[in-house]
Amino acid sequence: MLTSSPSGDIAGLIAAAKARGQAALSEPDSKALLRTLGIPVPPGRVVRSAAEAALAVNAIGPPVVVKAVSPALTHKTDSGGIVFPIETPAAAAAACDTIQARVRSIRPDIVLDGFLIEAFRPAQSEWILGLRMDPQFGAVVMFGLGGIYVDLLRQVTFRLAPLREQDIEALLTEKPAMRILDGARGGKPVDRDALKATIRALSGVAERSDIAAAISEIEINPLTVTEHGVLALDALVVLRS
Amino acid sequence: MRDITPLISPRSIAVIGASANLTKSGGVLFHNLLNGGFKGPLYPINRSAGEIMGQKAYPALAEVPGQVDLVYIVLPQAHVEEAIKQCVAAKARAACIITAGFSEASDKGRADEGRLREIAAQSGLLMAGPNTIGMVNADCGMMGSFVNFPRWEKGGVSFFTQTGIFTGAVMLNVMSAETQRLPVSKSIDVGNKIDVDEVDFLNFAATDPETKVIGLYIESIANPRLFLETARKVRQKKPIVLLKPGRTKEGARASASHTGSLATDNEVLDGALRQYGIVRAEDEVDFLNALRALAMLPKPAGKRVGIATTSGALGVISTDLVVQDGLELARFEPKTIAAMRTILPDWLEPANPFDFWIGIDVKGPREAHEVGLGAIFADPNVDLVLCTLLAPANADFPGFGELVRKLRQTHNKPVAMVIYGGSARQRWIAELEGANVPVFNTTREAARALSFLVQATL
Repeated sequence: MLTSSPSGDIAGLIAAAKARGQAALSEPDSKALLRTLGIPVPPGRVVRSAAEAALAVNAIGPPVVVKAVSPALTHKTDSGGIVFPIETPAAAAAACDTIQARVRSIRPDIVLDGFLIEAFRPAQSEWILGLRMDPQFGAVVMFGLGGIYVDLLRQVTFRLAPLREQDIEALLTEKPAMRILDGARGGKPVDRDALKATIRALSGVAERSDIAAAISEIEINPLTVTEHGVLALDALVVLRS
Repeated sequence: MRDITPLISPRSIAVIGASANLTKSGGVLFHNLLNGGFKGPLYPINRSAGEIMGQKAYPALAEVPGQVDLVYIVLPQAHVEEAIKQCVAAKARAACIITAGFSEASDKGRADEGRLREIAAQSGLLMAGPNTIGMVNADCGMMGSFVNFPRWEKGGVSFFTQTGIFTGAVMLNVMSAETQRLPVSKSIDVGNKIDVDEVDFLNFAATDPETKVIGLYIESIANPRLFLETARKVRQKKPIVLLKPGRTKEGARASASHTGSLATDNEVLDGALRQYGIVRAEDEVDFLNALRALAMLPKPAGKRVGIATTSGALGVISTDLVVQDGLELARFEPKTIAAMRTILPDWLEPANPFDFWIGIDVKGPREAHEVGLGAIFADPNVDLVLCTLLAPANADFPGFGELVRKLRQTHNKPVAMVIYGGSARQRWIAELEGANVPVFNTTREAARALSFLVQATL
């Protein structure tokens, strides 16, 4: 089963998740939503078993990353639900068993929906991009330095949607860490146009009433941004309760 | 959008709880209203007194013969709700509840306040307070406060505040200054902000002919989106300075217990304020300095600063602060440089910051200041002038104030001044009275005030 979902079926995806009592979309479903917005995600597929995982490695091409799939498992790293990089079908199958065992011991309440096998793309510089439906401010866009130091360094900037071009520019310049986008320590400047298009696409959700009314937050962390473009390596769509 | 004129510029006022006792809030407030120059009818309401300070007193609001726009309520907490019901019954248009002891005090107070809010919503009675020092409107002579204000510099700054006593203390501080007093039009303290809020006030101030600059001290924002949209529109014509504390988690907690305000995500608010072009002061000094600069100075053409100084150290310090506050250093025209050279020895090349102390030795204090300040004011690349001057006896000359006044008038450019030390300092500052040249205590304050001016107007 490919993770891509027919365009326009996002409302259905959200409705189905709500019907199952989920508080959030699973990672593959969250990424399906991003894809309909035109935000690039790594190629991947969801499998049910270790055997299917092995087959998926050949279909996608190594190296891959194997991730636990469950809408209840919002912190995959903490619960050992992610293994990378994986080079062979056998290793992928073994990774599924490892993840299954780890999750069972840490969160015995969770039954996995399966595994997401995705092309492995190292996060060269890790950014965070989010859209939040704030009870006081309405739709708020956040962009900044992502990864594990988000809360420690707070190199993030907020603007209210809808965004004007100058607001998008401010998101990319306001905090000192944003200078990394210009190319740090010999690195190349990132593809700003692709990044701006991604921010524009995400903030545009605020104007799509069918989706905006059903969700409380979309968070892409990390969003890797390079001279070649952007890629959403992880995504979480939190549903409105 | 609703009209809050009856609250801010009433044509008639009643005071429930007025008394002849000047040790009580109800006595002082009535005394201030009576002696503040209010032109319309003023009705003291008191059950037992036939007359208060020479004015006929009425036992109840219903007995007042004419229409009452605004009712001040200065009663013990337990009697406030009954008084508000009287206001509604008598078809008064607005009420200002001075009394404290509501949501800022206890759960019971919160419940009491909730009932008052409901009455306001159902009746359309405009409400300010509770827990406020009151409201002052210099334009209609309404000194509606239990704080005794000695004098009032009438001008274009209008305040809207959400606090108990702070506004009064700030006003007293402003008014007790011998020089550089902030010119004020209105000061509306709504205390716990039960009803009339910052959006109502912005809409009022936008069309109020006396208001030129708006200062907001608020601890909560009732509807952030509406506030931002309204403020963005209003600031096109009238600059706004916001002091909104609670920038830290601890500060937000303190704010909750002060005025019962709900916490707002400060990171989001900060970004939104930048997005909507609303400048935010960090503390009361920032707030008042920004307002003084905005009240006294014209809109700058850009953000390039020319620094004139008679202290090399202050010149360097100014340069750091100017750049740090988001302003730029101006590049002087050749003509400016040529003028500057005439007061310097050959071996010294003029630059920005322009330190012309040595010019005092070369040409004497008058010519040095005339040329030093004059060249910078005249340079077309200079949008703002920052002057950090020393005032010892050997730098002094008669007519310092006149010189600066003339430069300020001729070029109509924003200028911020710092004058340090020396025998002439007080006289120089006194000579600048009425010249619309703000003088600040420190270089940091002067640079920040210029930065606020740029941010609030460009």
